Amino acid sequence: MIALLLLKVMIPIQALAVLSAKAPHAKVVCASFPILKNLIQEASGDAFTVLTIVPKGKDPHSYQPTAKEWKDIKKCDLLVVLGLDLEPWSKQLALHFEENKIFRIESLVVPIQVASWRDPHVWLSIEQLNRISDGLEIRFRDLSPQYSELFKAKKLDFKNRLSQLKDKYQEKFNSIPRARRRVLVTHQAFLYLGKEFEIEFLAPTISSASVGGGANLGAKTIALFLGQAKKNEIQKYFSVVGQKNWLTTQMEKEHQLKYAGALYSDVIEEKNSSSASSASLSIDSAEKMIDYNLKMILESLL
Amino acid sequence: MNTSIEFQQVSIRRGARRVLQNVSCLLAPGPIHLCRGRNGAGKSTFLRSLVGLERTSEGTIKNPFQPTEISYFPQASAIETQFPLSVRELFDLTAKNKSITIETLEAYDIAYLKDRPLAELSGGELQLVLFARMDLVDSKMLVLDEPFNFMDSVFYSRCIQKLEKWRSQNKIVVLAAHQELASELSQVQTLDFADQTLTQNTIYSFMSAPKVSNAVLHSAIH
Amino acid sequence: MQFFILPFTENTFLLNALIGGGLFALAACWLGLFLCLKKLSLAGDAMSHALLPGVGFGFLIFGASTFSLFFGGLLAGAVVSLILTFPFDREDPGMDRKLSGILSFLTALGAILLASQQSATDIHQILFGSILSLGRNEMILLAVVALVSLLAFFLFQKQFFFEAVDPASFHRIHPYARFTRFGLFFLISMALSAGVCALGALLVVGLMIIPVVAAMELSLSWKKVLGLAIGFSIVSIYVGLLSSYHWDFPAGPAIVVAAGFLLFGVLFYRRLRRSQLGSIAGA
Repeated sequence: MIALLLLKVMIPIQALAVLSAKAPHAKVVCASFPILKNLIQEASGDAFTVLTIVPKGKDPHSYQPTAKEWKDIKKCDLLVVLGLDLEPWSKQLALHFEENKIFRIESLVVPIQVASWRDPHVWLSIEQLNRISDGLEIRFRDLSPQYSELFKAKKLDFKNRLSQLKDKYQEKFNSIPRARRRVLVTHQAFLYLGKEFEIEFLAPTISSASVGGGANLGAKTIALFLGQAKKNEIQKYFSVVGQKNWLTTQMEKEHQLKYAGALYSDVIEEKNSSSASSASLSIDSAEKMIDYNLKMILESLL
Repeated sequence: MNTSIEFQQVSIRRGARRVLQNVSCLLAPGPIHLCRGRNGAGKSTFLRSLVGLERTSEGTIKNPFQPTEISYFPQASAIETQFPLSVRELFDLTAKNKSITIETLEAYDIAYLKDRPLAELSGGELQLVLFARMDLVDSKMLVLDEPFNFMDSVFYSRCIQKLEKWRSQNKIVVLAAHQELASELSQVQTLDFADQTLTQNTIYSFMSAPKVSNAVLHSAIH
Repeated sequence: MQFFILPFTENTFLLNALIGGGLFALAACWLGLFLCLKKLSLAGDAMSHALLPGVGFGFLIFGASTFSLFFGGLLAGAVVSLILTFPFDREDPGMDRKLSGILSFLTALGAILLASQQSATDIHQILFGSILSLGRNEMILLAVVALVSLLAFFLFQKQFFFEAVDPASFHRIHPYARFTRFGLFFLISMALSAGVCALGALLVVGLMIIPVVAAMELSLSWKKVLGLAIGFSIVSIYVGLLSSYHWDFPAGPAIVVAAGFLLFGVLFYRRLRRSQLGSIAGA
């Protein structure tokens, strides 16, 4: 009898122990979607247990957390959301959380707005990542002051890598005349990247669930888009990972367009821990997304 | 070869209700078999069981005919008149070739209806058309459930003549009607239904040749 | 003419949309005739509601390709066809409400299956189609389906008509009558499943039915009805695509809206004629 009781007590304790195997009494931080999780981990290392609300591959724009997920979310110590109208469910947050438990990334960045749409893809910009990195450090210091040194070190390291990334590509892009720095892409998600490296991204629709991508496009927009390709003598175009490529092979042939690949905007891959080589190949961080995108764009322009 | 239909103590149940109880009779070629009785007495069920649309709960029906040899005229017809067909097109679906369609239309004096859409037929016209439709194939048994509804006297007499024609061709004709037919047919077996049972099974035979009653003759002239 | 013709000659994707839509119309119009009959109208509802979970299922298992959606829809259509055919001959008066229940179930099931997908771009395309993005695969699918459908019509027209006009007799006389009904439903689901790539699961039934309804207002001869229906379909597709080109409306919905306006026009015209003639003209 007593043994049974003991067992009942032991098991939850064991579970807790597993949970905090990373660090004793680790705080739980909830990221709204995987890219934010990546940024949080970049800034905090192992200091926190980081959970994601929107699962891998799902669209943060249309995702609705289930009742069970809300229950789990409430248990966390800090909730990090992007804002900029990306997460529709974040409007209900006030019902579940006190304000000081919510951290909105949008407060750290300078958004680019086109008509009524604010581009949420702030992680595709080195400058914005720098701001986010700064902001996260301050907030995390508040949350777990015992790790201040860790946060500072991580931030510096991250910013350093970002600056190297920028250097790596800035010159190469500068060598291409600005008039030629035009990229055709099926969905607009690269305004920040474009602003930073002065690349003009031409797209007929914005990347995001609500517009339905190619399905919602009128013939007028499509004709305009294809006409632009001809006018600017652009021969290659990109699709976006996770969004359906609505350009058919017939359209490509007729407008002499060649498919140059898919750029990353909303979706990152899972951290691949099986082997070192494949880990470096998988695009599992914002940094790698920028690197990959710029590399592909550069290849297509040269 | 057996060309009669025999009912042996047939009962039919629909759910908890007994719609036919202990019916026994013999239907042989020769007389026209006329089912009479009040509404709800079981006539329709009887006719449906003749045609094979009802399952018996008790008793046996000995029916030597295949469904293709039986022509059936159902009550309150389930024809989808909204389907955009003309009378002729409806007939062409059943008839072996187009000339039979034309012949039948003419035999019933409804050639003028041949291109009329089904939806535009009056109640009586539709009944006559469906009656004539039975004559498109050479069937051995004809079963009709209140075929004279909505008909005027002209159509009515036309149909009576056809009944006689079938009878003389040695086909088995079974029908249910409220009209007073017994006196207008040359050979009749009446089956009287009441309270879901067959109470009377009488054979009338008129010695003279097929006779058309005075009343019917009178209206045919006009 | 620049307004009306040039968009189609200058943009192949628009021309393909017109052709693809036309192929669907050829496949679907005669089938739509059956769906407009009183007794079968609920079956039509059932087929289109079955489309949603079928397509969702195809999407879930095989991904978002046109063929996977087609086969998913076809599979669901086959199942619903079976359900509709086999309990049929008992002429169950409660059939209507049972079907209604099943329909709601199917729609919700479809929603669940579709919600498990990757991106809402795909949901949108599944629900509303992408007639402007018809590639070679889609055109081939539509052409094959149109061919099969028309072949079935020409070979079995008599049986289909008989079964629709006088089902009781047909089922009584022919031992394999059920296959006719099943075949009809299956062809319907085949045409609808193929149309999903163009118009989407929600709208495709609209283009199967609306032109036929309009045509039946004007004629009671099946040859004229089918001819008019095909004509109306093509006009709707043309007008919808043109409006998408000039005013950027989403093409699929624009086509069905055009069909709807055409129907209103026909109804209005009939009403005018009736009051002019001072009597009920026709049925």
